[in-house]
Amino acid sequence: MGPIPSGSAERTAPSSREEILEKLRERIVAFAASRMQRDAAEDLTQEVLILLHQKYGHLERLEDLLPLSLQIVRFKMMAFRRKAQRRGEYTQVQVDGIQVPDGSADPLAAAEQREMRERLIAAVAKMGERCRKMFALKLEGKSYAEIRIALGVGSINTVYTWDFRCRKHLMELMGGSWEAGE
Amino acid sequence: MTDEIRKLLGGYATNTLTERERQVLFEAALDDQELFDALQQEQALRDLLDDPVSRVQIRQALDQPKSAPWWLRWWTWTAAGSAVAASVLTMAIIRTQLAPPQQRAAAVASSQPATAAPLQKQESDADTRPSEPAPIASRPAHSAARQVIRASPALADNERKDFNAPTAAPAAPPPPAEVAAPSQQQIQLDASGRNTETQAQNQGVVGGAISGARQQQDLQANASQLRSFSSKALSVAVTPVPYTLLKRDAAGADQTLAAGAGLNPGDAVRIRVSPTRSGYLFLSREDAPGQFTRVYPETGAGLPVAANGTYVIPASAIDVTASPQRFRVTVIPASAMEVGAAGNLKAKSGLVKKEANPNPPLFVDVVIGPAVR
Repeated sequence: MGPIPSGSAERTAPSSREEILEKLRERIVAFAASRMQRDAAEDLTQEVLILLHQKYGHLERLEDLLPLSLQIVRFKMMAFRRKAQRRGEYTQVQVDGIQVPDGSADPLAAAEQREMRERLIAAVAKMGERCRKMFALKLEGKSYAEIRIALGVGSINTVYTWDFRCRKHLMELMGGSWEAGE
Repeated sequence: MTDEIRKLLGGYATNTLTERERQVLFEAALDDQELFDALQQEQALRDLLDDPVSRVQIRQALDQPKSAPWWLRWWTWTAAGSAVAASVLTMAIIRTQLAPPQQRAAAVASSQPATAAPLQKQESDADTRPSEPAPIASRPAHSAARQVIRASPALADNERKDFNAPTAAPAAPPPPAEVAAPSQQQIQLDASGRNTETQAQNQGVVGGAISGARQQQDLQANASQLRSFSSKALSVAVTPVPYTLLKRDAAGADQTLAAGAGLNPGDAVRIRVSPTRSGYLFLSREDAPGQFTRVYPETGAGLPVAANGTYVIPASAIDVTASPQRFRVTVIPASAMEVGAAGNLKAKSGLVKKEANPNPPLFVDVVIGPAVR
């Protein structure tokens, strides 16, 4: 394991699941409130916590709960936007016109993912050679320490800095956000 | 959020972080809303990269060599350099063709001093051929008067001044130290058929010249005529048809006529032409003002000639007479013949309208007659 960037020594790790979920709730509400109304943000956060409690009650570690909550929040927000669009006064359709889901993959999510993939492919083609090389190594599953060796860099902090700049540049090439319309 | 922990964000989506790095990042995100929001944004990329198909496609995109910027591609600079060179060459050719015509004055002067000689008229437009084939007129009887052919440098100077202004051509180069009869250049003016002096002729040439008052008058008339041309319709093309006058000596051989050499009536003269374009060459004689009669070859498209070749015409020498004779040496470029034939076919088929010939005939007038001493 390579050296960890400084700044984490003074932090205290949450000791219990309840403490982790409490902090997660604050973060999720604040994040969702920045993109929707406060009431809707709290409702969304409640749904996330219920799901974490009911379906993923066996997870205790922060390394498991936080990524999972991030993913659930994203899906919930996408569903919220779709639902709000369906409820639109001027976009209502007749009941007979509503198609029944067939249980396959969500076509809208698939389309969004395909669009994002195409944007990402176009963006990486514009990146510099070093960023492309670093991104490729990351996709190969290499750690930062392994990337440092592969790139022949003396310090891993240099790799952190390069990766941070490359990520920032890549996001700029994609318009400032990974997802279109964010 | 410290910058050091922020640097770990790039490893979240690609799952590059080690266990320790992930723990540090997540713990920081729980206490830092900005970092948490950034992580939430990264989740979209992480979901995309978690898809095996997307991951493979992005890997393939990364493996493809990045196309070099246009300024680093060798063929870009090669193409640009070639374009610039072609432009410079084209401009040089155009400027050369638009250079002030250095009209050679092949003056035919008589042995009598202060005798004015006629100057060939300038005509314009190149839409039609300079003369129509016609039977050769009978030659005039030999004159007993002594005639000479000599150069006329002063005339060339006057012509440059007169013709430069209306044609807006570049400044004329200094006249040659000795303008000898053997070398010749011409000015050809294409003015859309607005030659008021010779209605029947649509092509204009200022070629061999004769010194004297008549010459000056003609030049002034030509200059005023040219000034009347509208600048919009006027196009100038200077296409030399170099020629040399040859005088038959006592042994029957053609000798180049030296500068200042004279001609006597009864002398036999031929013209050696070195056309700059391949095509068809023929010689015409002016029987009446503006009326040229073809004398060699009498029929056919003309004598096939190659560019920069040397040809002596006509087959039988021209007899020098006391009165000046005006001849016209015409070269019809081969491309003009092809264009004309194609245009005729198209015109017959009614597909296109008749267009101006892009390769007009090249010609030069040669006046042989009494000159002024």
